[in-house]
Amino acid sequence: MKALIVDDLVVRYGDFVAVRGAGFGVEAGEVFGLLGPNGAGKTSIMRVLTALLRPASGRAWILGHEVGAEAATVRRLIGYVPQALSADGSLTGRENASMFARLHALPRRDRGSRVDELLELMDLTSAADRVVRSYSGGMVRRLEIACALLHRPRLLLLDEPTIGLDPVARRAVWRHLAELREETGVTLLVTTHSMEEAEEECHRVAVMSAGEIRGEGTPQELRAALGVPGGTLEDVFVSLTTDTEPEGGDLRAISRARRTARRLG
Amino acid sequence: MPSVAPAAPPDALVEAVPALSPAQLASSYLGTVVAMAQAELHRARRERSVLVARAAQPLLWLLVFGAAVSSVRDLGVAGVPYKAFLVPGVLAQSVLFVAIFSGMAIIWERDLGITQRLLVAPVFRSAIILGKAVSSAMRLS
Repeated sequence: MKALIVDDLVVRYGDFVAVRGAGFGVEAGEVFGLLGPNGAGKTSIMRVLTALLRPASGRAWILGHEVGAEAATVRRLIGYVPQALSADGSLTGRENASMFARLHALPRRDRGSRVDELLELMDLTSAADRVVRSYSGGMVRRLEIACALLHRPRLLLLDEPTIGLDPVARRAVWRHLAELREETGVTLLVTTHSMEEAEEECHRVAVMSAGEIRGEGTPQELRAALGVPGGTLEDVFVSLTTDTEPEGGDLRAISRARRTARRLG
Repeated sequence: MPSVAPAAPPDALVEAVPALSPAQLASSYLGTVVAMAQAELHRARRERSVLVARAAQPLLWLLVFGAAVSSVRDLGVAGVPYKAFLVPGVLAQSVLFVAIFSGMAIIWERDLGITQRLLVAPVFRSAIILGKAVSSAMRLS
């Protein structure tokens, strides 16, 4: 059964069509990767799924609830970690998490224990009372994931969760996500540029380019479809996206990504 | 009029979500405002020097500039001590400055993508605005 269904989604910004009839489904409990170059439409799809953007046409259902018509319900079912660093640097890890616990209306008696539980799950207990601006990039990301999990979401949306992280921090984030899946069975939708990550961590992936889904399946299936002996997912990615501008993404998107990378150190 | 949600496709996993009662909605609204105000209190506790600077600025205007300017004759505030005349203006200026800086902080947060996370949380948009306003008022007082 599918936790997320996207059907023939079209997103326009004025005359520019960012997403052209994209459709895919994510099985409950799986890790689904949305791959594509800058400007492919991945973030637009994320914005539609978080009910921040209304599509020009098409629909998306999250756990049986239509995103546009039932935005409030959908927001209670999802956890979202945006690409930009969203933790407040002037607060401690615990204060950040407590703020999100209140925003998600967790009952007062559960709040403290739930915050402690998530900080422990993300290996942040010893740093919980330090201000976030003293954290490493990987720790900030893990804190953000902890904050997104406080209300026990069934679907976690991660927009480039490991962008700007060094390989050690990247592995730590994925290790914690794997533990989380084992414990809770949460479904993950991840956008990423890293083919290596997609290959290792995602059960299935969809490759997007110029607003369209160009290929969907397990990394093995996509590699087999390429028909090149020893071909990697990166080869698949390149073959499916070669017709797009290699330096896609508008100035704003690029400057935001750079700022995130800078904040992550 | 609330829009009618289209039926989910047959292969969709459907998770029933109980509707919130008016009491729960009110508590969520208040919780959002309190959460933002509390975060501001934590920040203020840590940035005492900023608090001192904020408090010192109006006093500087009032005591130093006020005292200096009041010694000039013919200011046209006959019958009112000059410092008393100055107080409403200094207060208005403090309000204006805090409002400007708070507004700038919101734009900065929006540009960094921080606001996105608040908007994705299941909270009332007006509660976010009210929370920000309460936080700014606390910064002022």
